[in-house]
Amino acid sequence: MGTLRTSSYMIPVKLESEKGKYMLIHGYTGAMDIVTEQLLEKIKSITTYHDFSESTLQTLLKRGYITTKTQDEEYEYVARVACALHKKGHILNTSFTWVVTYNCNFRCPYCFENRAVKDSTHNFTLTLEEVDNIYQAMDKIQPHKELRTSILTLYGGEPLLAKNKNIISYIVGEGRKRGYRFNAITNGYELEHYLDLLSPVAICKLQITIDGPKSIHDTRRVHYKDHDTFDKIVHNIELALKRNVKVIVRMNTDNHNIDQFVELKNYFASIGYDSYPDFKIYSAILRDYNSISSAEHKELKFINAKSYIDKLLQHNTYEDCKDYGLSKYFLDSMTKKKNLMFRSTFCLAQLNGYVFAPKGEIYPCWEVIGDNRYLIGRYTKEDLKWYNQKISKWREIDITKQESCSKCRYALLCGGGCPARTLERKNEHCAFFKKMFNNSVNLAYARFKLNNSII
Amino acid sequence: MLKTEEMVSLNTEMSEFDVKELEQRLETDPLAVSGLFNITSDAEVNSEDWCLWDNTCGEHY
Repeated sequence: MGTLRTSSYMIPVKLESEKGKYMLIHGYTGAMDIVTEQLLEKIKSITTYHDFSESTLQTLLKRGYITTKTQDEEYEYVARVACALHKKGHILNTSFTWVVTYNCNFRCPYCFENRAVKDSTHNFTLTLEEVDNIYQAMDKIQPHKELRTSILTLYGGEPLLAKNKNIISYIVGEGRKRGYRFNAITNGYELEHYLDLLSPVAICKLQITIDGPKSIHDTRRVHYKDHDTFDKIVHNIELALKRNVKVIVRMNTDNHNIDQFVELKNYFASIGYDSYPDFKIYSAILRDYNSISSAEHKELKFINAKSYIDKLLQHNTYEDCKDYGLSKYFLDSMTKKKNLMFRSTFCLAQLNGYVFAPKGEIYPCWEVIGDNRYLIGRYTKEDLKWYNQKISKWREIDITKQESCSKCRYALLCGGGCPARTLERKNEHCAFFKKMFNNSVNLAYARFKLNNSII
Repeated sequence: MLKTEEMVSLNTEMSEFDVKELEQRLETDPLAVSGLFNITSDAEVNSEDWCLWDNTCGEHY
């Protein structure tokens, strides 16, 4: 046996509910164990002394907390795992998003899209011919139907504008013939025009942004000519829920509205929406983008990771925040008694995701639509044209390619953060992930204990 | 799984053997890797989550 040392990938998390105990998580075996503080100290000092029995030592080796690998050998092993995961992810994840239009009826101060296109009087909307071409392109991109996602996402601009009804009806009709269902990211303001398409077999899920109670929302989610938007959107949400469509309300959160998240949540409870099993509300942190003007910056108060999480904990709403799904992820692993699943990428833009836009454009990610620097291909009736160098830039990114990730013990649990944000040099993912990690572990363990007697 | 006064294991662990099997399958029969081991969360065909969707950007899907 080689020299024993503490693994560089051991992550101890202090348990708030059990004094003197820690949850150990291992960054490349996916093990989760509750240990005493004394045991943790012994593991940490393994290189100088240990009095472990042979069976305990073997267990700690198997779980990964103690290793005979050198630090460099551990880095190499993680890179090897990451490479296999990336290959697997690329094979299994072909996903499609449709930018139905660049036009939008809202003028939100924090919008990250190309405003010159989105808010202009020009009409940048898919045509019937482009819809046919996109379905044809999807078949060419991934000939194996079972490897394509069966749910297509409708995106914009605002996809569900009343004036888009004909083209959306055509997209959904043609999609249903091919076995697809649809999600839509919408502001919900003109949703009443789409009632016949809202159903579990057509447009089955909506993400709708409401930025707080009426008084705050109406100042941030601004219609280009009407006044208030809150009441109409709330009414439209109920129309969707009555049609058994999933509705996820997202509140873009900054220092202006974080204290009102509870108020908004309570409001939906007071009008009975939380009784619909398909209704969900969550808070997502508002992010800074280069497209936001200095004047708009003054109207927004971006919040940092620490303040955001502290506020959520203070308001007892941490469970309703965007924690990258971490608490559910940990809980699933404990409940199923399976190792933590790993990832070497953060999103499908790094795998096999495609975003089709008007004018025959294909992008890797919806955060960069309309920006020709990131155009990865073009579709026409005749063929598909690819810009391979640009594709590689996205598809080859994984945790092994990012200096800050390649030696990080969290890397296979986190995936490295949003590549689009990295390109904008505004990737604040690390700070959030590490801050959320400990809270999410504790939350998951508390839930687990509620359902299981393990100690 | 281990349960002692000092340590309680909550799940199984992934071994090097599992990784070797995945690598081998990727070489020999790549289309059949779906559902192979509990190794990756990047493997959810028909996932409803992508990027900002639902709870978000890069959520564990």
